[in-house]
Amino acid sequence: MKRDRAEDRQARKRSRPLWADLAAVAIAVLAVVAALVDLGTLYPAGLGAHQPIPFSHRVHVTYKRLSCLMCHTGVTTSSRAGIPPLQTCLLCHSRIIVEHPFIRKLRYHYDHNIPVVWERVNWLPEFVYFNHSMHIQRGFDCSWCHGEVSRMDRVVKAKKFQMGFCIQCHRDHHVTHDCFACHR
Amino acid sequence: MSTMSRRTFLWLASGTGFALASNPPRKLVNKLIPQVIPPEDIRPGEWALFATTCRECPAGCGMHLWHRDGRVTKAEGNPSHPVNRGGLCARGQSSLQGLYDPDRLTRVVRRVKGEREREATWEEALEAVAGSLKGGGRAAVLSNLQTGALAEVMKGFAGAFGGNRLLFYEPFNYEALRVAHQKLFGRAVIPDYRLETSNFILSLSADFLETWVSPVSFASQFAAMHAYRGGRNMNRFAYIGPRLSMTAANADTFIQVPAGHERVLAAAMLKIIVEKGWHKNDLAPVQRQIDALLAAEGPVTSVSPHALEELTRAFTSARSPVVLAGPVGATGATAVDTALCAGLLNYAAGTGAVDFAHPHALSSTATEAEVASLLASLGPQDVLFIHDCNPVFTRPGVIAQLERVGTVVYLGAMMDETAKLAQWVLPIDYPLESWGDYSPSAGIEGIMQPAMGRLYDTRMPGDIFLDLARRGGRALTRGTGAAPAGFEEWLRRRWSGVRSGVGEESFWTTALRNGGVWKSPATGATLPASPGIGSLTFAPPVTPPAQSDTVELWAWPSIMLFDGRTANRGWLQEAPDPTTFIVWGNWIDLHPLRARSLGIRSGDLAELTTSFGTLQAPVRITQEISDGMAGIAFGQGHAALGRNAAGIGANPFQLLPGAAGASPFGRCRIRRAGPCGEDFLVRTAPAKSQIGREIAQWIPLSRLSEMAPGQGDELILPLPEGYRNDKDMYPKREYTKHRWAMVVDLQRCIGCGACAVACYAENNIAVIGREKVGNGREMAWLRVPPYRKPGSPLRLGWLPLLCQHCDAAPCEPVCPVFAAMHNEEGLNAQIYNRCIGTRYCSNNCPYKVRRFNWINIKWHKPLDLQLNPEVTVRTRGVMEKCTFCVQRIRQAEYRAVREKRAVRDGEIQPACAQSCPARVYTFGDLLDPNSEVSRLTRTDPRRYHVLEELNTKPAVTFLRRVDIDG
Repeated sequence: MKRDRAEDRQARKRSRPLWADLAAVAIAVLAVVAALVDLGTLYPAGLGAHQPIPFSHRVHVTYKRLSCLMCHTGVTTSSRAGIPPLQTCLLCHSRIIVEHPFIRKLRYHYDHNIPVVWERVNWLPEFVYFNHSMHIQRGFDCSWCHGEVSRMDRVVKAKKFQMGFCIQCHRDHHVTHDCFACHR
Repeated sequence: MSTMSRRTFLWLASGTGFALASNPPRKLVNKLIPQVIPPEDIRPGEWALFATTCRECPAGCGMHLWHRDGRVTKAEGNPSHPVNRGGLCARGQSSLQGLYDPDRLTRVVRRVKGEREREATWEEALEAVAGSLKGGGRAAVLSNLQTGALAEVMKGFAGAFGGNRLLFYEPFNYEALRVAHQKLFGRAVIPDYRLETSNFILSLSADFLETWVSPVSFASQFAAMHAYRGGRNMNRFAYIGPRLSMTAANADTFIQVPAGHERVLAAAMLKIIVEKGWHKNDLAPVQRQIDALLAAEGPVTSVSPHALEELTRAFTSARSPVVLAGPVGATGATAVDTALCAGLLNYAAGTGAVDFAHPHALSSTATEAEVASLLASLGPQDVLFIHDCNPVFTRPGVIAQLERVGTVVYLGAMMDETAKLAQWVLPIDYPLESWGDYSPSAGIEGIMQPAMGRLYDTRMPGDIFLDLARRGGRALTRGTGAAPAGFEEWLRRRWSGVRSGVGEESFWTTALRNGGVWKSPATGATLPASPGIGSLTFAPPVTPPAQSDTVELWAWPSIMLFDGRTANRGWLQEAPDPTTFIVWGNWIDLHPLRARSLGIRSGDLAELTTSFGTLQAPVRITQEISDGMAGIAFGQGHAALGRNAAGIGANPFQLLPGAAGASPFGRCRIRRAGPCGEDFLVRTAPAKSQIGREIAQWIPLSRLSEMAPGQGDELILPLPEGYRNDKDMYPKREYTKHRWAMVVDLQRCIGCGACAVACYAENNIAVIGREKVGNGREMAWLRVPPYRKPGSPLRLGWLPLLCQHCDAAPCEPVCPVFAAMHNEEGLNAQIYNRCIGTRYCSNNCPYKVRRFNWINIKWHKPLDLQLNPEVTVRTRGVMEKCTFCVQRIRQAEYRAVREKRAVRDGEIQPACAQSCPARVYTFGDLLDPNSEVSRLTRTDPRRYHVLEELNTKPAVTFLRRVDIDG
């Protein structure tokens, strides 16, 4: 009797195949991941386009505590913030995780003078002339327009840069409504 | 119209619907390409400045090139350069269009006799040419005027291969002036004229504000000398010549004489000087010849004896009078006499404004005889190098001579008429892409540096010569030491010799930053002694031609196209001629009397014939040219060069002999060749008459000198204080930060049009072509039309007309979509992305300064590289107009905010003001009581507003021209 029961159990076990268990686990994991994504905890600031080198702003800003100005040097003095030249990356990465495959790729680009072609995330139409330095001068944080870049792994467009966005902000802060401020 | 089936319509409609609903991504190049290793001081999206030297003509002005993201977008005058002091003429600014010319040579072309023309490699070309040099070919080099390193290289090259046959060929070599100075002072040079130190200029057909020797320098000095500074006395300028050129129209006194008669008037003045004893240097040795000349020519009829005596008195009583002799390009015996008489007048008056110690570089150009003998000596064993000059265009007789040459190697940037005949065409770097130097006159060393990378597979001419010499087995060396690796090293070695006592590296970088080195100009200048004065002889008088169809030819270099080298540039073709406002073409000027007797009417085509050639051009009948003459401008009539130049106008070079006989340019026969039809002249200002509107105004000096500052017109200012409740239809406008305004000094304006071309360059204004301009669709935001002084047919004044940025702007309230807006700083903004093209604003603008885009302009590659990234490129259906260069205002304002200070007065210079050699424009803030623009607008007695009676309250205030004789 005892033996029968054991045999039954084994038979039953065999009757539920292994893949079903695995599938159940996978579904459960996916559900958790989906829930995390949906609740905004996994990529709280969104996930942007693939980049040729997966540079993570989150790692550099949140964990390594780099300032935006460290790499985007033009932002205080120029209309454009500036995409850092590869030389800037190698300021640190000539010593830090030198053998990482992507750092190797970076160094390959640097050594052969081949620029890395990034996917553009934020852009303005060509008839709009925005000046970064003026907004930084007034004490605006980058995140005001660019979102929480410090939490982004792959940078994503945080705000739609349409005229309503610009004007609303100018209205809220009682600053110029001159058409010539942006259009010329 | 083709019919569309219901099925097709539905198919299209649903397709469009799907496309819209699925929100397709915009076709954008959404890539960011960073630099790998950034160059020092050049940041993406930021302006960088390169100082260099302009090589569009032999004047050698200093140039600043604005560089952005790897391309040059704007050429400006170098404010610290001693030649041009910040101004730059239209031709100099158009160097960008020369650089980005879509018709530029991009590849080596091989055109060997009996074979098809084909492209070749540099290796092939250099091997072949060096091979023929090695095989006993004798080199001869014909180049445009060069000094410095390239001249050294060419000299070495010509010396190494076949005996120093190197000539600097310029079509306008001022030979008459040099011959005269040789005879008078024993120095065959063009001296340095210091017009600024003079207080009486007399020009004998010398168009020194347009093309003569160094026009930007002279324009800036003339404006400084001729401006009104208050008081009763003003410096004067008199012009004696046959044609009312732009320079002549700027004269206080213009005496119209037949061609070649300038010398008669000058001789009459000399006679008066001797008789009255007004001379400072003795003229007794030459008195006999002067008397003989006057006796042979008969009495002077073009001016009354009294007026001539008055002119002479004014001339000799001036502190430092100066006489300039022209015309440019004349070769006849009377031209030498004109220069002789000018020299004698300078000598008699003891002028301090002519400096023989600093001769102009043009003094080393080849003479006519030298060019002729070189060309005649060429044979099958010769290899002729033609560098950056176009003798086939400027000396059509040269074609037969070139055919006898074994190999013609052309080094240039354009496939011009000469390149079309060469066996090897080697594309060279444009001056803005290459290293070099040029010294316009002794004591001024200008440097040239590449302001951007090469556009094509081109090389520096110096490198080509060095490479050829090396391959030919006779590498060139500079002094002692090893042969320089390339032209850049040659240049640096030469410049290390220029320096004096400073560190080599810092000297070099300083020279690059400044655009060269120069000493501060010496103060006093005295004329050399004239030992040969007694042995002077004058040519016999020019007898008027017997037949009525024979006229004196009067060819003059156009201010825009010079000798024709710049004819393929849209800006210059579309820039109006200053006195006629004709664009895209040239024409024959004919006096009404002669036109009537020949049966030629306005709108006819006339034919000019000499024994050398013939040409046809439309006729303009005008009193602005003396009777018995046919005037036509150089520069047009290209058969090659490019798509803009070819087939437009006529080329007067083909009428000219190498050396004319007695009269300045020789004679020609003229006949009516038929009606002109659609080829008739296109102009963008139809008439010079003001029709009683008093747009351009003069004020007599006698009245002006009585006025204190603050007197004069009570202007309605574009400020809240200009608001009149009973007069204004719209509410008062308040300004908090700035109210930008401009003052235009008409007394300073010489009409050269440099500002208008600067505006094209700065603001991405489209060149739309002859046909559309003819339909009244020109796009110039700024025009400088000539207006006649009421009652004086031969006096012109120019009125630079740009958007007046009115306070009560008629354009603004009529815009249904608020595209024409008044901005917070008083600017009249046109918002392109909002404009729907109703054109109501243009209809309502009394100044007619708004321009409508009737077509989508295609910027032929690589002309699009010139576009200013700070200014939107407009599309079809959009109205556009002057913005006071708002992009420059913003730059300055942002800079001030970053540096935590206020914008300084004079810090902002719109493109027109920056380029103006004559400093006509003053720009600034009317809210700032201490600004220059406030001072002039409120207190200058010459101030007025154009169409003030309309109560538009314009922000542009004009200062009247001063009428000295009034």
